[in-house]
Amino acid sequence: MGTRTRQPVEASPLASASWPALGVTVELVVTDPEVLELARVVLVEELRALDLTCSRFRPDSEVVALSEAGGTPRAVSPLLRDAVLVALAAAARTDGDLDPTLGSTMVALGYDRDFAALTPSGRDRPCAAGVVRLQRQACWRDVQVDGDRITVPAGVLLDLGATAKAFGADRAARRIADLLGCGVLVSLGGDLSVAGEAPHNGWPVRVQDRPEALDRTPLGPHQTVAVRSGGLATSSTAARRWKHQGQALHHILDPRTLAPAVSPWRTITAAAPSCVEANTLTTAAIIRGESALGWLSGLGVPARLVTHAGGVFTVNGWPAPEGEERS
Amino acid sequence: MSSEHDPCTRRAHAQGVLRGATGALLAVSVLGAGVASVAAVPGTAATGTKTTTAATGASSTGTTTSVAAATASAPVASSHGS
Repeated sequence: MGTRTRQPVEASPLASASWPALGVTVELVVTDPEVLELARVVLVEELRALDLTCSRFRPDSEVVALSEAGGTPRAVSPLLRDAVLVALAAAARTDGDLDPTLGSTMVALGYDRDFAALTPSGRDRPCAAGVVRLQRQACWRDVQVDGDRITVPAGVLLDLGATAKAFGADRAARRIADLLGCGVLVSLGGDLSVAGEAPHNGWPVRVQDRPEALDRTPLGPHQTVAVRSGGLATSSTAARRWKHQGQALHHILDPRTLAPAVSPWRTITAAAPSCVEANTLTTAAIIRGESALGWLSGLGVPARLVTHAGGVFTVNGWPAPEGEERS
Repeated sequence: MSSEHDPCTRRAHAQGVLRGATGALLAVSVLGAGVASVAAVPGTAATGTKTTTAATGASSTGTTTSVAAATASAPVASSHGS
């Protein structure tokens, strides 16, 4: 883990730490350097619980056990219940664009382990079945939640990946702010949530296509904005790509085609009251393709959309791209 | 290269403004719920031009949040596809 103290915004310094977890880079920033270590401990524990509960890549995770229950109700932890409810709410909000029942489809497409564990050569993974024939076995509406008991249709592997990191970022940021009384920013692989009192000028956050270190100039259009509260999320087809049977794939599946979404947008970012909401909208917007601009506009959510050619569209007060940095 | 010198970005932005102005995208007109706002950090493009655009957005949840302009400073985190 790396830690450092920065003084980018105001007289009182911010303190930050960064480390890998959940297959992504975790970024933690607090407004009180003295509580950084405590905040880190809280966040590490939150992420450990999230991983044990929601990871489809861990055979010992609760969500895998739930998926293997053969269509019978199973009592689950409050954390998993909340994570599933968030995923189902995102599905309902987007008319099924985000469908947590596509885990088996992801596996069939070769995304069957933590992405960080896929070596570059391993990203062109052969399929054991040879030709993949994908069929929907169920959809999100078939997942039943009754109190602390959840029923997943037989044969369905839940994939909470579309919402779990954002859910975790919101949850951890709130908890750290409540426990330690400081301003806090939590980013889980770019799904970013802030809580507590923000720095005087907000949290300066760089929006970019792919995960790239802050001390490096990112490829493609990028822009720094200030976040004061809520969440910021970015979905991109330029990140988390792999090859399967010679075909280039990315991780945002269109549930209607059971294939990676074909979209005119390579990257969409939105600001919303929570990271979950922002992430739900940006992921669905990628899937919705050409209609995304009008859809996001109608929702009144500040958003930034980048075409494959690098053209930048902004809606609902997102800063105009005149200040956009390019490389 | 600064975006203002990039024909691709200039074209895209102009297109977006045009579409908004013609009514195809009327989202801006539904603003006012005061839920979310985003503002540019003062432009740090090659020209050094500063932009302080700020606006207010809305969210369907009705929960209040705010995002505002910052002074020129190094980012402390990034949001990206993952």
